[in-house]
Amino acid sequence: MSALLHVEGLTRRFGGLTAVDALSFSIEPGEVVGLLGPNGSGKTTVLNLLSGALRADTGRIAFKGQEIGGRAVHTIARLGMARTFQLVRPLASLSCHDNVLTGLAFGRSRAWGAAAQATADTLLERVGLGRARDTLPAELTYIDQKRLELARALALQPELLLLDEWLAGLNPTELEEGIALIRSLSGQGITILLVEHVMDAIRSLCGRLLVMNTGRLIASGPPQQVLADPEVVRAYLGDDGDVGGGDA
Amino acid sequence: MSRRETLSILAGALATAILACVPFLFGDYGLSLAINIVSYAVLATAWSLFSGPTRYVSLATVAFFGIGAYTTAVFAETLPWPAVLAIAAVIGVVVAAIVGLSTLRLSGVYFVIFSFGLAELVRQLVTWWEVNKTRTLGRYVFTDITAAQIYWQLLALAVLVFVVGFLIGRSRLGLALRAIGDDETVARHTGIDTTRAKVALFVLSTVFMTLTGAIMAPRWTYIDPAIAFNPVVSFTVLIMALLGGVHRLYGPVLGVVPLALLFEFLLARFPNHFSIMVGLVFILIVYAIPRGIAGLLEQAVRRPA
Repeated sequence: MSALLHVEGLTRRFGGLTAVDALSFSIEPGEVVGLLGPNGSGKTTVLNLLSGALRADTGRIAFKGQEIGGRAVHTIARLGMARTFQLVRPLASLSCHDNVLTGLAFGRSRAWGAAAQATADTLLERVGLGRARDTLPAELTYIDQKRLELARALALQPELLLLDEWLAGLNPTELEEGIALIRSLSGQGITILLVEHVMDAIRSLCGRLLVMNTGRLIASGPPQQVLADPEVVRAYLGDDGDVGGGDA
Repeated sequence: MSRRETLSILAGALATAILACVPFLFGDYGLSLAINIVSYAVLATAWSLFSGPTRYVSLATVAFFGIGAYTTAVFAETLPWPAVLAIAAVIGVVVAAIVGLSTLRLSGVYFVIFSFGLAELVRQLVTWWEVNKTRTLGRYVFTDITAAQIYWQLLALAVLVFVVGFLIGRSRLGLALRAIGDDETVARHTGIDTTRAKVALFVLSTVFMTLTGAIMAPRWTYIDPAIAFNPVVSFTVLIMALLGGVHRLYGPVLGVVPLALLFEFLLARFPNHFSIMVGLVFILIVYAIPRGIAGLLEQAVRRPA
């Protein structure tokens, strides 16, 4: 099995609601996969199950050939899976530099000292936050907090990066930069699973899409094909919705 | 090492040298007041070592303090002094590790209540043991340790807690704890084993409390569970640390000195209304200076600049 991530029969219920229902998919190394679906379809729950923040009721998750279902969040992170959060969660009392340093100090590199400090600076530069080294996250704009979160995730040296609506709320210029940044990460060999609503980004970044509705996978394949799928259109827009681009 | 750190170290060394002379300069009353202050300085600094960054408010201080005191009461007559301290430290570590592993998954108010319950539990256990097994409630602590020696030991312990706190602040563990205090979920997602970090620091912080109790025990000559496990100690330490400010290593001491003096004064002048007054002080501090004296000082330094 060469898949980087292999998910089989993943199910998670919250009381009477089945948020994720017998979900199965695989991601090959180097892919950029978009996870789509209307609000409440279970996308963020999937990310939480993958990162270990939530436990699955049933089903298997294999990452790099290892079963990770039920493992502690920090061991999964150290294995090489990093994520950002839908609502940004910077570490508020730490400077930008120290935010990134946490990922370096406890992630796969377990770097510390001068080398780690320098790497943290490089990562901040990489996401365009070089000037904000000693700034506290609260002083950053929303977009820059997102950049910071990405830098912190990258500090873990992930093989699989989970982005939860990382591009949401960006203006057109920032969106272009954001897309270029994600593309460069992919070019670096990082496999990416992104939950996203911004169609431009999905079309230009993703090699493959997974579409969920009410916890179930309803379509999977190349963007052109999936986005034209009548069931996907119906899930997103309803039966008589007006068809439009942009933020769905 | 930055210039500022070098300066703080020099200032610390100088302060220690001056403080070490206290037994020669003041009489018995002055010395006993100094012992009181230094012991609370150790307790409050150790308390905020853990509770400051993680924001887990612990009321278990006296559980460990009392364990230390009882260790001294049981072994001081038969064993050499360093062995007594070593036993106290080991018992403290074991209890702290068990408590830490079983409770640090609790958060917020549940941990506060548990920690308070723990102190009572330990007190009841000791009482039960003494009543049913040894058939003596209360023990005499006879040692030839003088007040000055107690003072110097506490001072050494205070230096140690500052050194440890300073080193933690610069270490990976320090960064982990600050991350945990900010957002535990995020901390886990950056690869931090939050349980291990919390337990490690909890153990480290409580060892100082246990040792303080062990060193202080000879002061009393007689102890029973109600004295050794007096919950007022936990609350006093908490309020001292909060008054001083828990986000800086030197913070708690800034709260210890004025409050220890104030309590001394209140106890002498209003022995019957002491608890009420302490309660009022508690409320005042939480409302008026939530970030502590250290926070006020930093603000004052920043503003005119």
